[in-house]
Amino acid sequence: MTACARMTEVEAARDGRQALDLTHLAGCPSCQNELTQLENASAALRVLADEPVDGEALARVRKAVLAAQSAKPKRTIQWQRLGAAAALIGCIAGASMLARNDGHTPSVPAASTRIQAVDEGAARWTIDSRDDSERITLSEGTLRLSVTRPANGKQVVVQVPDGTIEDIGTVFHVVVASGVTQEVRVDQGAVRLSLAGLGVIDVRAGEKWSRALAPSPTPAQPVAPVELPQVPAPPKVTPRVPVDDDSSGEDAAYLRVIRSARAGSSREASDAAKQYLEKYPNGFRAPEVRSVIASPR
Amino acid sequence: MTATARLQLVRSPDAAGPGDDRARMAAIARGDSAALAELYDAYAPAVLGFARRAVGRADAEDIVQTTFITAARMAPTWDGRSPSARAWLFGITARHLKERQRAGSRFARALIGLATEPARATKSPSGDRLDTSAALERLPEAKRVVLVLAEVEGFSGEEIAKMLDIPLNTVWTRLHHARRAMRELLDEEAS
Repeated sequence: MTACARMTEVEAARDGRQALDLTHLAGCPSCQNELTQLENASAALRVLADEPVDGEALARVRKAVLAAQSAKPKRTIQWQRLGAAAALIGCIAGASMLARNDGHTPSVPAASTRIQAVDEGAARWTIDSRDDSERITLSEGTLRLSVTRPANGKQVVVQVPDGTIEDIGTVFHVVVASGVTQEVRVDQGAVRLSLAGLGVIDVRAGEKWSRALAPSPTPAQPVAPVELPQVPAPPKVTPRVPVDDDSSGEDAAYLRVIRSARAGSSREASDAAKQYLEKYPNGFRAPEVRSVIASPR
Repeated sequence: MTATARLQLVRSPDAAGPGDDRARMAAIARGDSAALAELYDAYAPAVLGFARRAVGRADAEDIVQTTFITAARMAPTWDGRSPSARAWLFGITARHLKERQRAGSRFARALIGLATEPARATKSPSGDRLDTSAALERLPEAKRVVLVLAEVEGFSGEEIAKMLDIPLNTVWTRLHHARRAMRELLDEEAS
């Protein structure tokens, strides 16, 4: 049986990414076979969901989980070593109170920088108020920081084992593990990372920097969302997308084709398409890429 | 005129979860151990099944334990947009799987791989389940996790992308390659 160029549409339709062309399906044995194969494989996998549950293992883990829950310390606000606390750790305002650990709560100066720190996972951190900045030292774990800084407020600097993260008025998360900054995710505003060996990297709202997945001294420009042909709901492409396996490489090659085609550079699109097909002749997007060469926009 | 239709992935029977978890999650956020026990009883079997298929029997219990301890700690941050906490719990599990994968050094992984190299799939006298499980074990972890979340657990591509913190397109690509690899492995066993 000759493979049909539209066979990938069957899988896309099964995944809910596009409608299935029933007229084509009715007359195409190749696509019918593909659908049958997909359904059979899916049915075989679904059988796994019915595997018997290991009751003993579940009981063991249940006991450990509930023991850990009852051993959880009550939330107490301290200004240092707050890593064990689960949720809101503290709102810190002004300079003088930060250097103290005597239980007093000094008055909050008017135009002061406000910092809200939430432990999101075994965070070990301290805070130190300096004349020019509020300095948070995060040695391990995950910390979410929400910073409100008025025009004359102190700058906030997060000291991590391998550098600093300078806040520019924002809400962000920092993950440190094994003495190295692993990830910085920004919800609002922007931060500037200065990490050993990586230079200065700005991370803005909605972006994420990750050491393991995208170590880059020169940050890539954010990629605009692209509209993929034949895909009804085009996904947004996150800037600094982690490239962690061959799938991401194939996606990147495919997106280069689409970007060039959308920009109206048919020659560049055609070149990118050829590069894609050279590297991924049987790739997931190969039929669509071939159509770019066949009918340049 | 062209006739088109929408196909639907068949969802697992428990895909919607056992009900509304909002009150339960609020109680867990207040430190209620009984509510945590209820959440565990409702979802731990599914989470354990997923963890076993993703990383094997040896590490699965640790993953489940870490998932529920994290869930208890993170309960105050649960947004409750969906009445069921199932996808949220699987998201925590997926994150721990990713961290575990990241934390292991290449050397350690190579040693573990040598020690626990999955047995080659053998034709099962008792049916197809062993063949499918054995084939699944031979897939790379990243592809296996996506395949299990989509086909066994019945999550949508968007849900998987969110859980694994990867682009939606990467979900589809991994899923495609995982299905193709599974098909080849099963064909190999059959011949």
